[in-house]
Amino acid sequence: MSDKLSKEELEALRASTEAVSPNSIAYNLHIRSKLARGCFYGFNVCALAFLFASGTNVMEGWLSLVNAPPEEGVTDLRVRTLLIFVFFLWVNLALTFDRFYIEALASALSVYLYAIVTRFSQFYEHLTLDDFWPFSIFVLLRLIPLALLIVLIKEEVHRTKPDRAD
Amino acid sequence: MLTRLERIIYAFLAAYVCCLLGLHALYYAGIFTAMERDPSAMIHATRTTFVCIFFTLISLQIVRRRPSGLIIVAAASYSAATFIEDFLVIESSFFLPEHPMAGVLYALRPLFLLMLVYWAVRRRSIEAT
Repeated sequence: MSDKLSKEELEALRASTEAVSPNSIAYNLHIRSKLARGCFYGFNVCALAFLFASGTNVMEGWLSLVNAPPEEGVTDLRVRTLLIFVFFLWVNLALTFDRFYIEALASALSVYLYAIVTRFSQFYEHLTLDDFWPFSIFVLLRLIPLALLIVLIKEEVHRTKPDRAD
Repeated sequence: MLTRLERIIYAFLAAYVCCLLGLHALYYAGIFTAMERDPSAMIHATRTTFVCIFFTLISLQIVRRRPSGLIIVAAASYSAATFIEDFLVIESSFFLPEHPMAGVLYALRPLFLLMLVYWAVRRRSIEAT
């Protein structure tokens, strides 16, 4: 038996070695819809923006803009940063290995909802009419990741549905 | 359909939720007060609401014989997050140390959290197959 490979065999080998691994973000994004891909990028951008912003004084600046108790916000921020980092890691690793992805999204959604509600309830007593615009921007910024998470879950539920049409 | 073990876990968790809500109701009714002043009553009201919503949703899904795994996963994550928050930030967040039942519930909290996580894993594995 010859040790040399034929041209076809060489091409097949090259194609197989160049193929994307199923355990990669690229492959697992590729098998999902365009909307899911876009939402996933958006979600990552939001998480990274929060992680970068929490390392600066931006949050404290915002807390001083609205008439909120700064000490409560600052102490809470550490835990929230930790939780967002954990969920950021979990969602990305889950997508990479295609394991527990929808669980990661559902967990992130429940904790994020709790975070939003507690934050609003923490502030609402101290808000005045002057805080309308800063607070509106704050609400809008919070609603963007929430919407992205909901769309991601819906897309994943649709994708993993056993009797889906496509 | 729940397995026997899941039914036992559900019964324990239901009892836990009922005791918790009972204590909250007594506190709100002014029957007894906390040892220390509660830092934020709104946070407890929020938590009570979340616990009620999760319990209702899970029970409804079980009654309707629809998949409930994802909601249990969400409830387990929520419980873990509040557990972390309690230990890192809010002191005496479980705000009823005067009552003997509150002490028992406080001590059993990690156990119930583990039960919830176990149930979530088991339900998801059953629903996935």
